[in-house]
Amino acid sequence: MSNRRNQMYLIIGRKFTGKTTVTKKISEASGKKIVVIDTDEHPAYSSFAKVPLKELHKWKAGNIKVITEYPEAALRVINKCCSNAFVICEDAGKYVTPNLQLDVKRFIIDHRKRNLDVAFMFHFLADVPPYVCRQYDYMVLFKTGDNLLATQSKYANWHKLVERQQRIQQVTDMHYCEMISIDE
Amino acid sequence: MEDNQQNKETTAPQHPSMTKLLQDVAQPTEEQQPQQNHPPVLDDFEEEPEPPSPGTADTGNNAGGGQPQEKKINEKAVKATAKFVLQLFDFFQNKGFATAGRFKEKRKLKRLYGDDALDKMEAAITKAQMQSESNTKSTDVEIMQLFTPEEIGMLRIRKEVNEFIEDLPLTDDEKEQLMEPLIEILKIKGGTIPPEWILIGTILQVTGARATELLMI
Repeated sequence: MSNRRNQMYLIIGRKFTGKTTVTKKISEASGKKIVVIDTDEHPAYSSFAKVPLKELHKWKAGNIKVITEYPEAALRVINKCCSNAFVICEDAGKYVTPNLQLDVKRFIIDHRKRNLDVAFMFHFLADVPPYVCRQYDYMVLFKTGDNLLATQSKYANWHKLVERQQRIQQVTDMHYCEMISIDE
Repeated sequence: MEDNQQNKETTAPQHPSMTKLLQDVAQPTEEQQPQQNHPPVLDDFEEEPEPPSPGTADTGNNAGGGQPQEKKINEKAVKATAKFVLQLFDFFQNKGFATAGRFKEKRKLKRLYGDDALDKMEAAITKAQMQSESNTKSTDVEIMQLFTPEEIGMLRIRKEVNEFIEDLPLTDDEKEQLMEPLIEILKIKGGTIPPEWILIGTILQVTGARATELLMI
């Protein structure tokens, strides 16, 4: 059986919809060591060892979190010094912006070379930079407060997104989500 | 409380697509080696986020030194670049003003002396050249009598424009005055300009010279 490709996941949903829980589930299912990049401590990762940015290059095993004001720098270190891992970028809207920093862009381009799966978490579909919209493999969509018309030009599978989002909005459960592949 | 919330989240109805996603991600991927086992060098790396306090920047972890190293600027290269930039500027201001001067001269001559003024002036110049080559010693009054008032007017305009064009090149003083701030700017911008810009500048200089010659015809 051939190995699967490394994937880039977009986890999109409003606050308290359960993005972190689902992302954790996906990352744990991958069986890889996990690194969480965040600007603030998230209680969901309380069991993860906190590693300062300057020690990140030494990371060999176990699940860790890097709480830093410079998440782009963390992505740079991961891109150069880490491999075979699942990278969770919490609140990616803060640092994965339309004018992508070079370090972030390099990470997006190179993550497969290092056997890195990555999950970027955003609150809105509109927050996802166009470059990332073209690169992701799977999107896990929760309820969002997006005006989808404003995002039409960014997503190649926009019509599918609209269809799915309408379905998600109709479900009363706040934590309901669906997966959408870029190839759909 | 948190556990309750997590339980609630996990009991949410799960779409089949999510099951497929979890099955897919459980498949193994190909193991890879990291690019390097040491951290990226600090001269192009933002250090730890803590607010910088003087004297505590270097933790000793980094063999390359804690502070970004200042790029060494080659004084000779900076001076050579400044000289090139100045030469380019001098060339363009020279050629530009000279072309503008000649255009203005032509327009003025035509406006004052009619459409055939240029031919008339060429004839007057030839007459003046013949007079100077004849070696006959004539007084200013005699020379003046050789030309019509119209020709004298045209020659005066030519003389004024010629003097203006002769004064166009930058003097050594002017060059020195410009050189100092230019060197400072270049140092801030990294010392030198890339070779491709030097090539573009040289090409512009060569083609610019030809273009102005063409415009003068």
